[in-house]
Amino acid sequence: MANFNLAIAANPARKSATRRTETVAAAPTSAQARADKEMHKEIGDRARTTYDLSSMTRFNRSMTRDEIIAKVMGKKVEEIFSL
Amino acid sequence: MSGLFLYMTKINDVYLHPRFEFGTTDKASVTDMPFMTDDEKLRLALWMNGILDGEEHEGLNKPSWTNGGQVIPKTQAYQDNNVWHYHCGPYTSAYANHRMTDSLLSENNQGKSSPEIYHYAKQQDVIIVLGFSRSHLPFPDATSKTNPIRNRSYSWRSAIPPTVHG
Repeated sequence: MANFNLAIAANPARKSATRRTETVAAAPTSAQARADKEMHKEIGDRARTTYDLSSMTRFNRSMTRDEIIAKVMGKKVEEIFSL
Repeated sequence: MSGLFLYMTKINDVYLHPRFEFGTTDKASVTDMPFMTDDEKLRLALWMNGILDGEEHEGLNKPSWTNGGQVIPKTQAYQDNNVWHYHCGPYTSAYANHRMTDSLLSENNQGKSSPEIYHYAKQQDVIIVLGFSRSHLPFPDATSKTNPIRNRSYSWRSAIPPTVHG
């Protein structure tokens, strides 16, 4: 800490340059700020709700379209489209 | 902050609420899966497949507790449980300038509208389909204890210890 103060005292130009950098921090545009706020709210809304999913039928991204159709309809896809 | 959102690029899982999948309600306002036609079930399956594939969808999609950005009175149950609805079609009106709903099922009030909707709850990168309405007007009352959508949205929260869901 002492060394830091000494450095600033020895070089006033450096001190002012540092201050200028700090004040130039880019403020988000209002549109960006609004989008960020909405995204935060969205995450909060999703996180607030928790369900016990263990007894629910699950569909995930590893399933093919035909597998999903068959599981929802309770029939094989060949049966569905041959009707 | 961008890192925080990386996991939200797609919805990873879609669940069917058991009281929807095996339910006994057969009304225009709430129709459970055993009473849906093959066409309705096929449409549901393709919507779920599209969500998991990260596709956009043409229907209107919104939270069930707001209208035009304003909170609808007496819809606290929907807000508490993050219940949304998607207008699944079939779409009978002509739409020249509709907007697509993105793959995260974000709010889109410029999508195509239909009497038929899916009710679902969002949880992180998961959605739970709570029900189907062939005709959603009047909208199922969030304060009514006989509204299956309201009860389904609460039932799984009350079934687990408070410490789990805070």
